[in-house]
Amino acid sequence: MKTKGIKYSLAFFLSLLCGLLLSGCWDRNEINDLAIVLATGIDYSHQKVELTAQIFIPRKSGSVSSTGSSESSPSGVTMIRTAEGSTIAEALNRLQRKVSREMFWGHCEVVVISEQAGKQGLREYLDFLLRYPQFREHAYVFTSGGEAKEVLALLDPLERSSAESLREMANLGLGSRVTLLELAQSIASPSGSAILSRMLISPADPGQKKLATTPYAKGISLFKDGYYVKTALEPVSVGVLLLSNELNNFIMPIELPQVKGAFSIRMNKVKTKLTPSIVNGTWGMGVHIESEGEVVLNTTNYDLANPVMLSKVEEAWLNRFKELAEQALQLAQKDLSADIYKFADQFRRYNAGIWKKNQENWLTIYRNMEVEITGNVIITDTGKSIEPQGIPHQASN
Amino acid sequence: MSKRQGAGGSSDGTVITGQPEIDGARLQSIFLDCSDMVFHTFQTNSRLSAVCIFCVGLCDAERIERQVLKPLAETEGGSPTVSSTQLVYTLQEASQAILDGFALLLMEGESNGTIYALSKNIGRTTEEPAAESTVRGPRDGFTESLESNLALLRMRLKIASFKSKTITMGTYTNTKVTLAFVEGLISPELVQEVERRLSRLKIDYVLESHSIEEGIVDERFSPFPQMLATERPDVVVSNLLEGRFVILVDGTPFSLVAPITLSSMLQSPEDYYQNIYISIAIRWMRYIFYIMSLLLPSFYVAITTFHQEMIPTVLLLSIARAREEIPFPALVEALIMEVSFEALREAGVRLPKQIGSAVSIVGALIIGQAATTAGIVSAPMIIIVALTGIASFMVPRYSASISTRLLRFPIMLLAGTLGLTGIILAIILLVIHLSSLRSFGTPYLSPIAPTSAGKLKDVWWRSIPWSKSR
Repeated sequence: MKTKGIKYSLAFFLSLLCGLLLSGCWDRNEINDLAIVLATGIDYSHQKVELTAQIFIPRKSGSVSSTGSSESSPSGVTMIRTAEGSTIAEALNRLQRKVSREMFWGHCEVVVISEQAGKQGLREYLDFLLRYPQFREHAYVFTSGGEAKEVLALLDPLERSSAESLREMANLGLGSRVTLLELAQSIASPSGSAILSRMLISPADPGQKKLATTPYAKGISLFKDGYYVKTALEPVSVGVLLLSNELNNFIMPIELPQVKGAFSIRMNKVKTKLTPSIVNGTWGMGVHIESEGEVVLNTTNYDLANPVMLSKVEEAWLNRFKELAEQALQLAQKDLSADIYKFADQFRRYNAGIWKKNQENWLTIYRNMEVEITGNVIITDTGKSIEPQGIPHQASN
Repeated sequence: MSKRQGAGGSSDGTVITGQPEIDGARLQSIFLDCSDMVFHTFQTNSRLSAVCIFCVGLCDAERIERQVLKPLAETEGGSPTVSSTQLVYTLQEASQAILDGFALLLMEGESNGTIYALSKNIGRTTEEPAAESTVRGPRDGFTESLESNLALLRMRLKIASFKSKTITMGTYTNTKVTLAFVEGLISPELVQEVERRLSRLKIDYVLESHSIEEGIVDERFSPFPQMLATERPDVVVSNLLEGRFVILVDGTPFSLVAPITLSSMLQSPEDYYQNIYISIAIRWMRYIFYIMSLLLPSFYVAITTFHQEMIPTVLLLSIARAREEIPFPALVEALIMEVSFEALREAGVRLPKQIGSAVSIVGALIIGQAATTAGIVSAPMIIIVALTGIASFMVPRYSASISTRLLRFPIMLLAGTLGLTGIILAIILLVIHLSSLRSFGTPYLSPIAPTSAGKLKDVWWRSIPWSKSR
């Protein structure tokens, strides 16, 4: 009697276990059945959204070379598929129809939005990318001057994929480093504007395949209220990056008045601090630039061991900064009347009550705002050499 | 020595009559067809008839001749010169004593027999334990002889409060089983409880201490060992000093120590023989690898089949590339590899040493090289299985490592069907089981759960011996 009970309970338990385990099996997704998407591109043409996916081809790279197919692309580990639709969701749906494996967006670390698509507004894309479960919110976002799918189609000879090279560039701090979440937050913030690095395609080396090349960062795409408005190119883009606190890895030439030649300074640290103030109803913004750098090139005949000379260079450097900042401010305040540098966020943080009252006519306030630029720059190092090098007949001293 | 009893022959309570011819004949009928029994009938110097009975393999015949027979036969009123003697009064006692390796002497006119402890030392001498080798630390190990094992303990515990009680167990084997402990350190209730469990245990034969372990542990159907089997006297002594008891069984070098906890299974005696920092680091490594030996393949299977977003991108691409040509799902792949690894391991253990190494070479070639080249198993899976194997070798107690070997498979199935949810489910079930498990009244997870802060020190870090003595 007792053994019978045990038998029944065992059978019950086993059937329960089978039900539990087998139902789990259906959700199984082997890696072999996935199309791993490394980057997503969004284009807009003929009133349609074009969604492009860069998909990893999981062939053993070793076996490709052993077959001797040198005709294949340099790395050849990615391919792209594009589909269009009236909305981005529809495009995604159609895109899946073109790929034999289940598309897996969980590793999409790069999103490229063409400026053309940006003109239609980022809202739809952002909502989708932040709502669709698989997308990463810390994927880096870039814009492209041309079509996004062309950037994704590149087969970078150096990196595993062009997605990887874009990601690495963002990590290096070339241009602005903006993630999907940051982009959405920045558009949702009081300033309502955003900046994104703009990618172009460098021409392939002679003799190489057309696609065997690298994207490169050139300029900054400016977004106002979620819409693309303008591209800032050098030197204005430097000022934009400076005011956005995103200037990294930059070498800047400095010229002194009445001096032949120039110094080049590599910046190790650039920090911009915004200090809002409201005095007697007058809104003002203080921009303070802190920077440290070292001289990497000196084509003048002056010796930097001389502290007077050094402070002159520092002064010229600061003036150059101010000049760049003013250009960038001119662009944002007067030309675009877009609050690119998030002054609004600063004011709201500074005094939320007053900000709320003046929120309506913020743009007028912004356009006429006095901005005071101050700074403190230090040359920490003059490089390996002290006196200028390569000047003829100088060695005897 | 406790009372002699048992089924050592078709004996009854017949008393010894004092006439060696009659008693000898009776014993001869008991030991009919026992070719190893020697019945030596002789006359002493004082013309008394006597018979000496012993088992030829167990007793030292030369010493019997020199110390018992010679003094009796040659000297007037001479008596045997043996230090350890005892008197027996019934034939049953006598026959049992002979079977235990004593020599029995029956003299005319004496209504008792005398037994002499003149047993021969059979078996091996003390060697380094094979299953628990050490770099630094004592190298002597237990042998099959209970007396010498007890001596090894006594050698280290030269105090009177080190007590040992011997009983015989096994209807057919009459094996001596000794319960040893240090009085004052162990709780008397625990000793009583063990004695109660041992006395209740009815068993036909005891060839290895595990048959006793199975009979007296709290939960015999648990995959986790609740007694520590060791063949190292220093391990036993350190456990005795922590208030545990040891059960030594005649005929096997493996002694049983209890009560134990999970954390003590993961501690090696060598921890205490090394620099404290190194011991702590190694101890932690062991904890981590113990968990790895249980969960690593399951984790790999779960993540690669259900949670691909959790793998770092670059790693995922490498895995995807390696897995591309593999015909099996990750779960099947893992099961194939784990089963063949276990088979290989089992084969290596059972085979003679010379062939064992050959097996491991062949196995390494087949499992490692050929399987990946043929595209049957992916290289990451090989790494996982190898790591798991190494992890299970890191557990210092063999009995603890085999429990994870076994549990790995159901967890793998859960992981392959439910993903990380399955692993969590398995962990929850395991924790429920472990926290309800007790080893002789001690919670198996103590001192972690229930927490006792003082004892936790020896789990997180390592206690220092001199700090224990107040």
